[in-house]
Amino acid sequence: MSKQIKFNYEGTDYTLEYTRRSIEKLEQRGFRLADVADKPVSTLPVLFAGAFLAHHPFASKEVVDRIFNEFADKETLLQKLGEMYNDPIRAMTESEGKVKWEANW
Amino acid sequence: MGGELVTGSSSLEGDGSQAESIPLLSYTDQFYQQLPFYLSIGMTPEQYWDDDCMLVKYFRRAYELKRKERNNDLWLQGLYFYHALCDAAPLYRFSTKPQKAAPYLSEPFPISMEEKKEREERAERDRFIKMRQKMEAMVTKTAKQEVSEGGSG
Repeated sequence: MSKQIKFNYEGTDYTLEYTRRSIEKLEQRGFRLADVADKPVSTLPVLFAGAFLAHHPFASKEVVDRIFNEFADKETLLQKLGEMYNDPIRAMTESEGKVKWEANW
Repeated sequence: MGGELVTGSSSLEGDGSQAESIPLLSYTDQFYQQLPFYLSIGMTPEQYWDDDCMLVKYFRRAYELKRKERNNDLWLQGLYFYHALCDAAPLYRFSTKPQKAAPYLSEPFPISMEEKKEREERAERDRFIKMRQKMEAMVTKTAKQEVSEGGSG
């Protein structure tokens, strides 16, 4: 099951998720995930809006922006959106990997 | 140390002037690159583009299972051919006098442990029934003999 973010805003249930189609649409508009690290202020709202495409393609930009502004803990949101965005590609590339590794932090 | 152990690949060290450039593919490019494979294993374009993105993982696993099953089927078919050839081999010994071919297997090979166990139990039961029939025949024969000996004596 893919990763999703669920919430209720003003009585409406929302499910945020990325599909391959929504990523394609985002990239067609010039979005690159790598840009999020350099230009988070301008790219994070785009990344957030892109997560609406799968389940709420007709949500207006105004509503999406309003929801984004009222979302708490943007740092965690960025991290979660990044993970979600990577899921469609990760599902295609992940294997049983034979090389074990560990980080020291 | 150790870097020289990796042969046939360019070193990651150095000023990078001679290093190969890293092919940068966007996510979309990769999606399109892999699309034919997923279509070939039965995924619909809608499932690939619009459904749960983790579906590909399960389609891949299902494909691996199917391949494994097909490989087993082919192996089994080879085994049947082999047995059939061995059974029929006596017919083709032209240097000796004609011999009878062994009959083809009366039933397929058991392919699950359950089936194997079931066959063993059935064989055991058949052996028991045969033995009982033999014993009963012997008892009947002995009884008849006793009767005939008693009648004549």
